[in-house]
Amino acid sequence: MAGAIREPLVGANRKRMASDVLAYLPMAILAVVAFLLVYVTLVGNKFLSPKRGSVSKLTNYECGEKATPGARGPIDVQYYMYILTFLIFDVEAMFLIPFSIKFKELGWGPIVAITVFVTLILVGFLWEIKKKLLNWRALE
Amino acid sequence: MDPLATFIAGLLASLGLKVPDWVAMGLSWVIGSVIVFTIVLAIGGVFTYAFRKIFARMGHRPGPNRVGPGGILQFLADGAKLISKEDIRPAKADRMAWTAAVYVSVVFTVMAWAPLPWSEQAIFTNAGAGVLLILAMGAIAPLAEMLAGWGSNNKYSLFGGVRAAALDVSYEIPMLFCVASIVLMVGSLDTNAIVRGQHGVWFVLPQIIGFVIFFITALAKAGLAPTDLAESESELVSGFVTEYSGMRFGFLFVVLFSQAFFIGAMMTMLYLGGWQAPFGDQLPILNTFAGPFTAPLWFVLKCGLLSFVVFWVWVSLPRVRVDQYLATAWKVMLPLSIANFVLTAVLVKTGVLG
Repeated sequence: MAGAIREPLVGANRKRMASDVLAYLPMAILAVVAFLLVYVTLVGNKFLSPKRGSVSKLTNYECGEKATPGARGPIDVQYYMYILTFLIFDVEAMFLIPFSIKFKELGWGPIVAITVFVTLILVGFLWEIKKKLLNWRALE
Repeated sequence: MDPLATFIAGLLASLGLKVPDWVAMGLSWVIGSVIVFTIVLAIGGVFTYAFRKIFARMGHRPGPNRVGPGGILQFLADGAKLISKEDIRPAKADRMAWTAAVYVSVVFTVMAWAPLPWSEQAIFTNAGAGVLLILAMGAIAPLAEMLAGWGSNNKYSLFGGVRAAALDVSYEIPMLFCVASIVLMVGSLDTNAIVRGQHGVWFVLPQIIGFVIFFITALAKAGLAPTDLAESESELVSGFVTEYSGMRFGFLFVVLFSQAFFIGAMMTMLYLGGWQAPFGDQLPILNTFAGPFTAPLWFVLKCGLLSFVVFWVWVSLPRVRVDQYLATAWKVMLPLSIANFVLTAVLVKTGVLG
């Protein structure tokens, strides 16, 4: 049954691939058109707007307080934990979506395989929760 | 050849110009792109007015009522104001990142609208990966938020950008699982196939858990209240949009409001039968009244209703704390959505669903 996923790229399949790729061409055109329209609007803004810059106007807005030196510096490591966890689950989801498409035609072999795969990730996730890596450190 | 390309070829032929098919197709894509862009910005613009009016009504205030009857032209006045405002780039900002953020935000928001089926024919691109394409374009949003936050070189902006990105990625996973559950039932990523799969029973019934999870995650991903932590104006001035002015601010603002409609559109497509009328066939009254526009009209009606709910939630609920909401994503929404996915898989395999 695993063979159901693999479809050889010949004849009708190759033609379908070509038309599938063609369906993404409008997306590229849309990106270019949207970019140009934003650009034109911003250029229009430049022409229509007054130009009265001053030193205090060009400093950062911090509610009228004297501006702090800037925002370069370390970001809380807490966010790194969320991003790492996200990465693992995103990869998992990328495996699950093709699996879902063919799910109705699949036999028990692939289903058991994917169950093992998801279980392994979930065990890791539970360990992460148990280690309190997803808790906000400042509140501990 | 899609209908728009055929129409353009016919129009040019009537002018005495015979063009090959690929020129007509290309022209139809360019014109279609302009239409999609205009629709996104127009809906975002109108929604800035609609939201203020609803907000005012719920707070027993008149809301905008000076420009045009009932203030209906307010969004045009706002647009005219913003485009004639001075475009200030803070001296300390990182020029590349600060500028790129607006482009990234607008371009990928607009691209996410491309596979939306307004009716069976009225769809910009019927790509095979429809829903996945929408999710992929949505997944680029954190990049724009981080670029804006970091590029502004302002602590408020940076906090806003980091928060927005953290929320975005955390709520992306439950959303992916909700969509995967739908894909299990349909067996396709094609947006039109998903809508057609809901002929008879809308997916809101078998996927009621997914419906609720999707609504909450979509609110968090779009950064609308009660989860507008990225720009909580009482702590961070305006989050990552603080340092933008003029039309750059206008774009970021309109993109945010267009998200309210986009949430409605996604949920209509995935759970509420898309462009199909309720109760099986098209209601005869609307059919004679709207003619070929019946299907898009149903789609817009459903989206409008859901957008109203979004605004209603926005006005009603107080803002949550960022750690609470991140914890909700990982410890409540993710397990629930996985459970929903497994439940759907079991029901599909045993033949109860799909």
